[in-house]
Amino acid sequence: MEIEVTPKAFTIGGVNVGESVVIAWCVTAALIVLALVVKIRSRNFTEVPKGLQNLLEFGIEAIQKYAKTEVGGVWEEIAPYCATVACYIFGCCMVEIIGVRAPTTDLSMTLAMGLGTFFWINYMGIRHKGLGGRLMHYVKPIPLIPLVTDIAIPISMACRLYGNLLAGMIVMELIYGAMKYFAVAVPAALSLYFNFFDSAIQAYIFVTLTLCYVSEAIE
Amino acid sequence: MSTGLLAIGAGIAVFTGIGAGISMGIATGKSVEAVARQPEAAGSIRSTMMLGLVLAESTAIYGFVVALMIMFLLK
Repeated sequence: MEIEVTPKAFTIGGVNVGESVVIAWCVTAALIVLALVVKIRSRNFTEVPKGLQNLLEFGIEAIQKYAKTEVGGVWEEIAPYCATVACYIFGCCMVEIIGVRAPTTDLSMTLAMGLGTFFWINYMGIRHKGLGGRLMHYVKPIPLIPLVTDIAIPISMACRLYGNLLAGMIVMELIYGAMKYFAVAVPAALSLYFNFFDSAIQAYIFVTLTLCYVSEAIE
Repeated sequence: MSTGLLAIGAGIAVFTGIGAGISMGIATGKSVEAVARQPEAAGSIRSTMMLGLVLAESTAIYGFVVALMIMFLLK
């Protein structure tokens, strides 16, 4: 049995792209289509919600309320990013159900997401405290130590997401490998934990950490 | 390099799990105490505990990632 830690790479028109990059594009396209469908359906939304509208309002209100409790007044700027990231991480993990490798088990993708959060932290910090105020926290209480902790943020977020989801994938691969032709009901029950629960928790954690760092940057 | 030494190295790297396990246990125990003392603050205690657990867990994850890199990339 062979477990590939690094995803396969192939070339499209001379450009070297990985397997995970192509799957990530597909996930992005699927999410955009889903968003357009919701947009079209939202034309006949009513004052009293029912069905799909109920579900959407529940989710969006939950994220907005969560952002409000974490960062306070500036929740309107950060809540859309949090919802997008949560949908994207969850969507990327869900492709594992149809048998392709999840893009989140590639360090380059999780690092890109970590850098996105890093950008947001600095953007919000500069926007609300000014460039001087943002740079001040590198020297004010303890000099230079915040520089190290700031650089560690994207790396630690990337490694956390990557490690957790890769661990889930490896456990599932080991189970499939061990059970061979008798892999019937047991992997399905376990994938409920390793695919659904784990990826939902990881999306929640990513959002929580983003909000936490942003609230630290703007205070 | 021989596979045996790589396996031993990967095993040592996963020892980071000890610290993470102990710290997660302490954090959970303390938060249970806090909820027992003040049940009305259960919501905020839970979210704070989750954050602490995540940060503690990440050390174990670093060890795991290093072990994987030793096993699959150094081979």
